[in-house]
Amino acid sequence: MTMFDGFLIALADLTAPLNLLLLAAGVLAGLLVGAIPGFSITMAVVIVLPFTYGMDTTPGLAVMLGVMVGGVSGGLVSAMLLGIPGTPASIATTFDGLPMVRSGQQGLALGLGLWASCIGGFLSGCVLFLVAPPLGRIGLEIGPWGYFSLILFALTITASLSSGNMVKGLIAGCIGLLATSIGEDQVNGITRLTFGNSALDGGFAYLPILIGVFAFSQLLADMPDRASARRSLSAEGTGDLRIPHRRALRMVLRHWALTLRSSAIGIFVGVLPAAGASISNLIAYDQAKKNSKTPERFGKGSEEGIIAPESANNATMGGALMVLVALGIPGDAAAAAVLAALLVHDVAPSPTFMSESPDIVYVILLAFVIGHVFVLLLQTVALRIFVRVVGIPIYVLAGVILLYTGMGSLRSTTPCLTSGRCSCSASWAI
Amino acid sequence: MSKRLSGILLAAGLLGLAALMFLQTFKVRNFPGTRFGAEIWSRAILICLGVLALILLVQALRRPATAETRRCLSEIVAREGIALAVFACFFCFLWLVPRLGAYPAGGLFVFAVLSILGPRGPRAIGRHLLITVGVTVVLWALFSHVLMVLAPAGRWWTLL
Repeated sequence: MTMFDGFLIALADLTAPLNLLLLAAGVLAGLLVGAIPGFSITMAVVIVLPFTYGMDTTPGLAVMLGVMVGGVSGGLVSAMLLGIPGTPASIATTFDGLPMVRSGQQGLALGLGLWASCIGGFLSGCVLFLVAPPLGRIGLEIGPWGYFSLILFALTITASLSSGNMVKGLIAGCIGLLATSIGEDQVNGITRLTFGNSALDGGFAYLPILIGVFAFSQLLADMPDRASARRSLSAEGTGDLRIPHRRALRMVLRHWALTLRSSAIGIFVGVLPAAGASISNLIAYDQAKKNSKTPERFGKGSEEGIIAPESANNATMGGALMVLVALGIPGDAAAAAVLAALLVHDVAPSPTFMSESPDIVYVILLAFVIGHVFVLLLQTVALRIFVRVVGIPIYVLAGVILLYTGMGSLRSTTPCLTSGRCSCSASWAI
Repeated sequence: MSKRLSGILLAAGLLGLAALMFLQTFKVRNFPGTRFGAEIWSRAILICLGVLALILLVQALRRPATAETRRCLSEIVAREGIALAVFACFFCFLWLVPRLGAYPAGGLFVFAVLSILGPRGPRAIGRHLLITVGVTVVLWALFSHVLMVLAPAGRWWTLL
C-alpha cells in the first residue's frame, strides 16, 4: 500500500458519518474535561480509553484524538474566565486572558484563544503531514544537556514575569524547584526532604500544586472582603456575551508572525519526548513578550499574551504525534495514552509504522486536523454558555470551584488525602 | 499590614523553611559510591533560596517603619478573615471526606462556604441549600457515572 492509497483509505474511513460523530463526541468530552481544573488531558484520554475497547481501530482512534484535541482547547475556558488553568497547558493563558476578561472583554478574550488554538493546531497538523519522519528523528538527537538547556530556557520566564520585584520572582522559582525535589530522586531513587512521611515518597503530584497555586490563590485574591465576594467576576457584570469571531480572527491574523513563531515553538517542544504543552505555552509567552513592541501591555490583557500560549499548546500535540507516528515514541503523556489506545487495537507504532500502516497513520493525522474543525464549531456554541460564568457572584464560584478542584485533586492521587492538603499548603504558601 | 512587616515576616519564614529543609538534607542516605548525591541538588536550591530570602530581609529592613506596623494583628485577622475561613472549611472537608464520604462532605463544604461568604437571611439560606444540592448531585453524576471516578466512601460510624 502506497502512502497516497493509505491517505485515501483513511479519508474515506474517517469521514464516515459514525466516525465523524464519534470524533465530535470525543472533542466535546475533551472540552468539558479540559475546562475542569484538576483534570489533565492525559486523564481525559485515560478515562475515555475503556470506552474504545469494543470499537474498531478507526472509531477508537477518532474518539481518542478528539479527546486529546478537545482537552487542550478546553483548558483555555477556565484559564481565562476564572484565572485557573484547566490543564497545565493553559498556565500562560491566565496571565493576559484573565485581565482581558476582567476588563469586560470576555468575548474577545475567548475568541482570541479559540482562533489561536485552532490555527496553531492546523499549522502543526500541516507540519505533521509534511515533515513527520525527519522532525521526529531530530527530537531523538537531543540528549540530557539539550533537555537541561530547554528547561533552563523555560525558567528564564521567571525574569520576565517578575518585572515588579525580581527577588520575589526568583524566590517563587526556587520554591517551585524545591517542591519538585521533594520525594524520590529520579537519578538514584533515594527519597529526600520527606521528613519521614511515606506519603511524600512519590513527591508532589503536579495537578494538586497547580490547583493550590492557581485556584485557591486566585479565588482568595478575588474576594479580599465580603462585599467583593458578593460581586461578579467581571467589573462590568456579564457585559457583552457575544464572541466577536471576525474581530478575533483578524487580530490573530494581524499577529501572523507571532502565531507562526509560537506554533513553531509548540511543534519543537512537542517533538521532544517527555516535554509537553506545559512547557511550550510558557516559552511561547516569554518569547512573545521579549519580541513584542509593547511588552508593557503583557500581564494587563495583551492579545499577544493570549495568542502565543494558545497557539503553542495546540501545536505541541501535533509535535508529540509526529514522534509517535514517525518513531513510535510518545512525545508527551497524552500521546502516551494514545499509544496505549493503539496497542489496545493491536497497532504497535514503530519506526516502520508509516510504511507498514499508512492508513492508520493518516487516520491519526486526519483526526487531529478535523478535530480542530470540531473544536471551532463546538467551542463557538459552548463558549456562549461558559462566558456567563463571569456574571455569577464570586462567593458562589469559590464554593463550587474549590469543591470541584478538591475532588479533581483527590482524583489525581487517589490513595490518600495528601493531594488535597498539598493543594491547600501550596495556596497557603502563595 | 505594612510592606515592611510583611517583607520581614516573609523573609523570616523563608529563611526558617530553608534552614529546616537544609537540615533534612543531612538525613539523605545515598548508596555507597554515589558520585552525585541525592541531596546536592536540593542543597543548591536551598542555598539560593536562603540567599534570596536574606536579600528580601535586607530590602524589608531598609523600608522606613510606619505607624501601620503597630495595629498589624487586628488588621491581619480582619483582612485575612475570608482566607482563614475558606482554609478552615477546606481542612474540615478533608477531615470529613474519609468519615462522611466525598459527596456529603463536599455538600457541607459548599454550604459552609456559601453561608460564611454570602448574604444571610432565610431566602439566602434557601438559595445556598439549592446550590449545594445541585452542585453535589452534578458532582456525583459526573464523577460516578461519566468520569467513573471512585470517590472515597465514608465510615460515618467512626464519628460516633
